[in-house]
Amino acid sequence: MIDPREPADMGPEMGPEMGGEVAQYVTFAVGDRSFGIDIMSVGEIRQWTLPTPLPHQPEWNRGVLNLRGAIVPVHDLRARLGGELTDPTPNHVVVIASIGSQSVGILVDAVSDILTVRAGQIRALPPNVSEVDDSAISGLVSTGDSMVALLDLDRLFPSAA
Amino acid sequence: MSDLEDYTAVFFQECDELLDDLEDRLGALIDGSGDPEIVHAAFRAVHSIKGGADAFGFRELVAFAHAFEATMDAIRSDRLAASPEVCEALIRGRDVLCDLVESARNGDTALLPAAETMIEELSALSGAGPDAGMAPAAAMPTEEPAEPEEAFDLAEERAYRIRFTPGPDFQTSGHDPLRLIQALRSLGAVQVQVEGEIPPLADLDPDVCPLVWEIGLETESGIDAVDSFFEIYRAMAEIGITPVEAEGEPPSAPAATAPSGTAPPGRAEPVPAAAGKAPPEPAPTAASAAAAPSSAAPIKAARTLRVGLERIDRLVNMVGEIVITQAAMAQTLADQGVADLELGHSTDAMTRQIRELQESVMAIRAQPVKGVFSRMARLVRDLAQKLGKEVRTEISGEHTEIDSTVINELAEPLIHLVRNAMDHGIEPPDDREQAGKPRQGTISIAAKHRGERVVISIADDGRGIDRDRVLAKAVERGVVEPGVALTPEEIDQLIFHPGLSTANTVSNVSGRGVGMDVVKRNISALGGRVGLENRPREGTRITISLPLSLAVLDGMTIAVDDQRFVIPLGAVVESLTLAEAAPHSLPSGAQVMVRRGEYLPLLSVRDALGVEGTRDSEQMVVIVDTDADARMGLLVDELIGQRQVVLKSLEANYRSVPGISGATILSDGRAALILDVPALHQLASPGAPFTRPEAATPGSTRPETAKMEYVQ
Repeated sequence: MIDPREPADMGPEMGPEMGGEVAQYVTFAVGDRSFGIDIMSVGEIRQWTLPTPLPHQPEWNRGVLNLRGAIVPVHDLRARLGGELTDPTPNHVVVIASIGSQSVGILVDAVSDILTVRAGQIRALPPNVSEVDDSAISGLVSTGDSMVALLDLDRLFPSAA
Repeated sequence: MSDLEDYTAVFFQECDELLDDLEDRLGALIDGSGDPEIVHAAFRAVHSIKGGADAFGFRELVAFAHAFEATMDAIRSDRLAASPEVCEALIRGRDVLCDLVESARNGDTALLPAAETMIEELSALSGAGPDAGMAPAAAMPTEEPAEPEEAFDLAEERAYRIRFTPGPDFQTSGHDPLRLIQALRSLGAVQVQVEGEIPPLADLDPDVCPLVWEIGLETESGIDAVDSFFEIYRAMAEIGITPVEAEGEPPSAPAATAPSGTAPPGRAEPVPAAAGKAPPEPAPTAASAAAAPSSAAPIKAARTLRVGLERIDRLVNMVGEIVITQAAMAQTLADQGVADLELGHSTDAMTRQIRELQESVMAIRAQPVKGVFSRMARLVRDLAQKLGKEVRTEISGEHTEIDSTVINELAEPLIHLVRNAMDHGIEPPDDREQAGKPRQGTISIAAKHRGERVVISIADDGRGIDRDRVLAKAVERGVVEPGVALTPEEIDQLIFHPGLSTANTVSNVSGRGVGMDVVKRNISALGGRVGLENRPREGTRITISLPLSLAVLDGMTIAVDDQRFVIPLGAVVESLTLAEAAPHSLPSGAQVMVRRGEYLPLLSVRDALGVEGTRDSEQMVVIVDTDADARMGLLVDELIGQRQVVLKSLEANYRSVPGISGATILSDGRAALILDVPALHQLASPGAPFTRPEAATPGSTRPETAKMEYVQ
């Protein structure tokens, strides 16, 4: 999938004539790190509300919430990536994303931006760099001053364990 | 193309209905009564399938249906007795017909080998009927001989039927029906029938004749003579002249009523044949196909509409949401202290209406269990053949209705239970004879409503469960510690133990490796319970009790810390305060309580589910049924109340969670978890081997006491 042409540190404003498929990512912040997920998989963004805890789940599952009649799990991205549990405030947000036919809520600190990138701008993760679960990161995009890690939700939150 | 596909789909739907109908009819014939009504109905069902299959070009289906139909026809015309053996063959034939319809539906056009064998068998039956002289005729399904004309018995060379309807000016023009008929006698023999009613005198118009005459005329004169006889009346009356054919036509045939209809010249040919003596028409297909639509109609007169399940599900979901919203609204009104009388009335009315709406929507999803049961009957027949056993299926309560999702989930466990009964329960015929039982075993499958639940039972009159063997196996596998004395019922329950599947213990025939524990788990997942009644050497009965619907559930809401949980009301036996329960602590740290002479284990929901807070706040005990036999007490902080909740799945967006059967949405919009009581019981003693802790079972233990230690 990686375009052999090196896209260099191009901003998201890069023109369409630069080649490669264009995709848009919703980016959000967890601490000082930036993550992105495909905009097509994002259903909505909600303010944090206290979910109903589920017993016997990994720590990063914060429980389930009622999304217009559907029961949707809420996962703590920071905890999932090996960090501490997030101490959520009403300013935290839950990104509702779809993984296959399922919907999940992802607890993040804040939603930052929508990033338009071409396939060629996405770089593979250098081997053995990421501290946790580099399989859950499908690629990196540089946006001038920072790096956005694109998440592979399928691997991050495998369904039906 | 899409039109054709639509029609094909309709054809297959009709086939399904006709096959169901056929199965019913054949099932009714098996007692050997040979009720002609039923035989006719069954014949029509096969015939309609054949006709449809022919129209859509399903050759192999036509070929098979034809052979089937021929056999049915042999019965219909008394050439073949509807003996139980014949019916048996026909029922098997129906199964093959099902397969053929199914493969035609899947676009598979090969004639199944089973079908060819069946065709031979059926042909042998229809050909070698009691009346061997008729055998050649049986190769083709002969059409029923023309019914003798009822109204007229005309055996002369030329016969006409004349329908004579006097117009308004018939009498005012000076004519008289009586004279007309008398005059007609000059042409030949006359038979007369009168239709119509004379109105009461007050309403009678003397100028208008209210009667219509049906006249049968036998004459040696030609149609011209008859026509000219009536010529003078044509202006004042409606006259229909029909030559009577050998087969006869109904008196109200269209031609007969046509106004001043001259008989068409082609049909004016005198019909020499005598009606009753006419040889059978050698055009059975066309003739009977024409008869089929009208005769098939009364079979499925029910006015139904096929709707996709997902549409209904959407409706069910939406109604569920309305129930919640309405509850939230009522709650808000109550919280704000709104005490408006009229508003109160309106909300009450709305509550009732919504409840009714919900019930109506649920009723749409309700389906008779018949479909699943018929599959079981068929499975029994298939397995009987495979296993060389003689087995009869008795089905009752097949019209019991349950939610279609429950029905779908029911098939797997039932198949397993039937397999078990066939495999391990029913003995081979010779063994049965030796044991003093009839060679033919019986498997009874029954369904009935009991309150808000449906109870399905599968019973066989086989050898029952060999307790010694089960116990030996349990000890061998380390499920039971050696030397532990178990009651017979406890041993029976062992077959549900995950480490001990009957499929591996009692016999190896089925080799499916799926044990009774899976059946039990699947049924529990539906909110159901499995009960077992074992009479060694006499048989086994398994009862499954299920909620009528999976979509809503009557639940008891409880609180632990600030979390709400719902316990299915069906599992709740009673509730009491912790003080009343007077729990004892065991050396192991476990708690038990005594209730009605029974020791019940106590389980803290807080501990089991890892809810925050301390156990000091536990104030209430809810006694629940974990399955058919075992009870336990659940320690909770507070009872909130009872209410109907809409069941939501956790698996839809996440995965199943141990101890939790699902979630629901409370009136405040928050999600609440529904406790899976049997699974909680299991969580409380995870992987516990089947041991009997001495402390919990003092010497004078009653049998009930020990049951709480099961790991089901």
